[in-house]
Amino acid sequence: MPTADSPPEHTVGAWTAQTLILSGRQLTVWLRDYSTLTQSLLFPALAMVMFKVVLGEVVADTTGQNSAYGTVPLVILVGAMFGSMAAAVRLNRERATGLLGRLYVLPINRAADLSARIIAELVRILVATVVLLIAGVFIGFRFTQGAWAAAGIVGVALLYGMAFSMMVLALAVNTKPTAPIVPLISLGASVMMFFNSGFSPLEAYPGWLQPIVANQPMTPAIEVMRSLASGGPITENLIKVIIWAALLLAVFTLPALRGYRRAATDR
Amino acid sequence: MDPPVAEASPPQINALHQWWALTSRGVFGIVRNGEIVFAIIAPAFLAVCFYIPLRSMMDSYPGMDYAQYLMPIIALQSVSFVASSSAMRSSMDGMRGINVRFRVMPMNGVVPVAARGSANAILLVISLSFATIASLVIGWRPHGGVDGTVGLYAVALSVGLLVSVIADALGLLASSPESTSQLIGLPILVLGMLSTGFVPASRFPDWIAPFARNQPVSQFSDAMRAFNDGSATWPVVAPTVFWCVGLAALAAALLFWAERRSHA
Repeated sequence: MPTADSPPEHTVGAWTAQTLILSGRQLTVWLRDYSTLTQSLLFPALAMVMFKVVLGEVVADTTGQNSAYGTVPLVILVGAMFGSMAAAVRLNRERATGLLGRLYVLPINRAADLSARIIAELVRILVATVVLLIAGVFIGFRFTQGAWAAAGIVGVALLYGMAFSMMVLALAVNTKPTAPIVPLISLGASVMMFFNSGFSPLEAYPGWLQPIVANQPMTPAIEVMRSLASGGPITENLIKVIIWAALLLAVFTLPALRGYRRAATDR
Repeated sequence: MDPPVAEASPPQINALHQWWALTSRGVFGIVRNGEIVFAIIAPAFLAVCFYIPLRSMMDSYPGMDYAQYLMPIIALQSVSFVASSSAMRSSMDGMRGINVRFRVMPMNGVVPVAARGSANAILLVISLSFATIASLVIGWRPHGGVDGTVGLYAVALSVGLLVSVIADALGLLASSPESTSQLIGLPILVLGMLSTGFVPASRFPDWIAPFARNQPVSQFSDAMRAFNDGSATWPVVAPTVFWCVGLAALAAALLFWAERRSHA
């Protein structure tokens, strides 16, 4: 007979304990799904090497700086974005198999599964960022500003990744499972991948496009990471990163919670 | 007394009609599952995403006009799109068992192969047309005269047809559509990026420049570029011709193997 000593589901204690258990579950699923695991670690590393090999000299000729300082942050962010789409696909699959409904009828805190998904995303982004930063050293990325700045690079990646995952999860639970949100977000993310200061220097873009390139969410994050690695001004771009992240979290957190309830109870 | 014999006339079997029916089945499939949209937007996407960010940097090199330079790889990207589409379709056909069904019908074994090939050829022409439009929009112009332009498209079409036959056979041989897309996708991505399609060989790091210069996608783009500016000579075009002969041999071998295995 199960004991009833777990905290009541509305308490913070229940939310913490159950989020931890469900995060472990998410990470186990991630580790056992080899093709997704490969895509979240190996593909970004491959893309990083290809960007460096193909465009490294052209970018260095223009900026005078090793292109790795733009490429490594770019690939970290792109990996975070495409990885969160895998999480959206998994959420929709688990919704179709009835797992969300099953969790919903159990005495589990209502927000625990959603927060577990965000935490699992953060762990995935943390692992991928560390792997890519180490791989980046081989293409010329250097940490000239010390250990705290290096930790700051990881922090920027986590903040960006959390905001983006919240948006993707909110969109996934608020649309029909058959809606083509993954292809659409992929298309958007792919376009963003080419129009930021990590793919090509800002001044190389046509003048009319530069304000958009400079202020889309990726560019400030890339510039903060570049400065944290190679030195340079941080404040302005860091403020932009924080504004973007706060904006996305403010807009999408509540819809994510509401949509999750609907997704869990609609069958 | 003899049992009554049905008076139906024997079915009219016409290989040409069968080929046409299966070709239109392939083309309708491409339209219905929405793949046709990719034939339209993929070249535009490539043109926009490489031309706009890189143009000012590339044009600062002497003698470089990046719109002229980029056109061959935009056309070859259409080729790669048709190849992956063709592999996916033949792999799906294999999975659904329709190839087995065709074999028990009064139909020559060449008909399904020819029909898949024709559907791929139609898709290739559509896709190359949109690649041409995207290239024209960013500023590409044919400068090779009639001969050069014919040569340019002859390279794109021959490579496209041969690669799509190879992809078709690989789709038949692969175990599932998922493994097919990985089998086809990764080599196409690596060969496309690490080619002289986007950046001249002299801009690659020394250790990889020989590969970037000599691999087939680079040879195809160099030949197409030479045709386009009217400077095509046999030494520039020869590697493309030899690669095409090699691709044709590979295509024949793979088709033969796939056909043999389907009877096992």
